Amino acid sequence: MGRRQLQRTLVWLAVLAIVWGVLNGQALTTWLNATLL
Amino acid sequence: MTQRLIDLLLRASRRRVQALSFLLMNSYFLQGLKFLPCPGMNCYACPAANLACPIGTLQHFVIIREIPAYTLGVLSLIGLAVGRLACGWACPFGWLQELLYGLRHRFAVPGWRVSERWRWLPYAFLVLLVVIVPLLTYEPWFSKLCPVGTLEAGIPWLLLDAELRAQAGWLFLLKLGILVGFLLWMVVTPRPFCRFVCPLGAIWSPFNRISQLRLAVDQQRCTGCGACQRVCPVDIAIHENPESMRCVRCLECVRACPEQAISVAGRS
Repeated sequence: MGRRQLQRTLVWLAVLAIVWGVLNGQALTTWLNATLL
Repeated sequence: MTQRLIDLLLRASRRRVQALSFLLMNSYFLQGLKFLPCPGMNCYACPAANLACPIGTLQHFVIIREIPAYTLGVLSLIGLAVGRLACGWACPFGWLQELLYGLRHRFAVPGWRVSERWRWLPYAFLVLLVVIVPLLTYEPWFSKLCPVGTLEAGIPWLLLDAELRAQAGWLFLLKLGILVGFLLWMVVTPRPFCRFVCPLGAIWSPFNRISQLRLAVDQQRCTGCGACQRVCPVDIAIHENPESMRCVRCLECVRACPEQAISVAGRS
């Protein structure tokens, strides 16, 4: 796999991870407040 | 896009960008941004912080047995675009380390060069204190001991809250000792936390090899004078390894090279 192709694949994986995380509530900050309190 | 960013960075004053970044990350009034991982070591428990510490976030999701997909995704996108550039331009703790190391010249303090054979330590801290220990103990132990947290959150909160002051015990003294140790170390060694501890740097390090933004050395122009290493805040001989995983992409070497042998470009 060339460097360019690896880069593109990783970008897609990162975007998928962000979407998955957002859909599972990981971008919400309720946990943050709970952790800090 | 990347080329525009490079042009902008080469014209900008890095010290000013670092100061601005610190102010933006701790401006207090932008509190609604804590869903965003901070591109640098900045404690989210700081009374004025408005971004989330990515290392604290990772530990939280490890503790609740969830894959930290969102945080890893955001960090990967940053890494894929610019490698460790945020370490050199946006990290408030990196900025502090450079300011303190600057004191060494002013007060003629002898330097302490630490062998690069310890450069694997950040990976060990990442695996042990950010993943394994929190997984076993259900406690975010890196954050508990982190000198950034003590400086930006522990000390300010104790100053602000008398009740917390009364509760401070051995753990706070330990944290304080770690912070003081690092502050002293920063005066004699360039960026010791980044080079031998920082787990965020460890996450971004491999991206230096594949990021869109890259450094290149024209070996025909390079005379091996070492000017790049002398200005490097992490003490790298960049003319020997322009894609070093330890490089924080500060671009000081690009400006300092007398032969203009080092270039920075978006990968084509």
